[in-house]
Amino acid sequence: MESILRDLQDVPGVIGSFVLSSSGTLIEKAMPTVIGSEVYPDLGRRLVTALGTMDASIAVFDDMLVKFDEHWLYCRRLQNGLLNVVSSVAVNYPALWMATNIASTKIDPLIPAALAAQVAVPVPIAAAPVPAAPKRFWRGQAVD
Amino acid sequence: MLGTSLPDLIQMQCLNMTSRAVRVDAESVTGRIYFAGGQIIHATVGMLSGEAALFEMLRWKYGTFSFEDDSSAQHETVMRHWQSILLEAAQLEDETALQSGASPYPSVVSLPEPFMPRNLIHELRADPEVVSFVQSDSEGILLESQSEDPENLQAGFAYVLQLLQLAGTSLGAESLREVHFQGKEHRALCIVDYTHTTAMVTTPKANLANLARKLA
Repeated sequence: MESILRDLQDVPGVIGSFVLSSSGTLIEKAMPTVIGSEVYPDLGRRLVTALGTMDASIAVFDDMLVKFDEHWLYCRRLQNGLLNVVSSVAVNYPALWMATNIASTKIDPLIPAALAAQVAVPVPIAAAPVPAAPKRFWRGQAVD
Repeated sequence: MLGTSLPDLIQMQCLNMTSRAVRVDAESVTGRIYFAGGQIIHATVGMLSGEAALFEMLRWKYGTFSFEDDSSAQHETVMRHWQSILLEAAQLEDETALQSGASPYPSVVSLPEPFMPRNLIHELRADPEVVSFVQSDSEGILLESQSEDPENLQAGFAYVLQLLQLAGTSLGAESLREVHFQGKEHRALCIVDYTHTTAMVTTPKANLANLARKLA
């Protein structure tokens, strides 16, 4: 999946991209390393909540283009998640749209397996130590 | 563009992400400022070019502007962000005024015009592609609307914009300006200005880019 995301960078102006599950969990990313992994849980939750709010209060939308001063964030809804592309404002939007069309069809079927692989294998929990029997005392002296 | 200052004009061009040249005529001198993708990329006046030409034009008190949509810059001579240039120009103007003993501020302060002129509101209301819209100020006070449930529409957009601004901040992006939503049955557009937010729901046929250009 990462190679599909890297292919999106063939569109001039694309800085990086990442895929979220429908619940906002990060599935895969091809983003600049300056954006640390700790960013994605909140980022994913916010993007998914934003689209969910639109669904509930306004209408259902398939994609959203968020324009900041110098950057754009393009989010495309997939059947199993959300494809997100960060670009500069100089990006060729029709080219980006077409590239994400193609990437979406490849990425969407891969999401369930990638999400399942993320489910952590349960780690055996070490048995808690048996609490020591309370010491008994007789006139200030420990006795067995 | 009677009454519009050159810094305002530059700001409008940059925020609208226009790619065009603006011709500035002052008495017998003509200058040009070239914009591309929300930035100033080149400026010329007489023998000057780049930032020197920009600062020269920003000193002019009077002039007229015209747009040259077909002109493109032959060179890229301005590398700095437009906001930084405008800030420096304003500081220079203040310093010059202080040195000459004059107040840097006009004696009569004109009140700002409404964000969206009345005719644009009417245009929105009359536009068959616009299903509903709300406009609010920075404090969330509803100014204009066309909706059966404007409070709910405004609240929905307000929350989404807050979330998207936070999402952008975590990615290191700047201020949120516009959001375009596309769906099979509807489209939606939000435009965030420094003082106002305008949001609308349209039919799927509406051209959001054109609407945004008209409203920004």
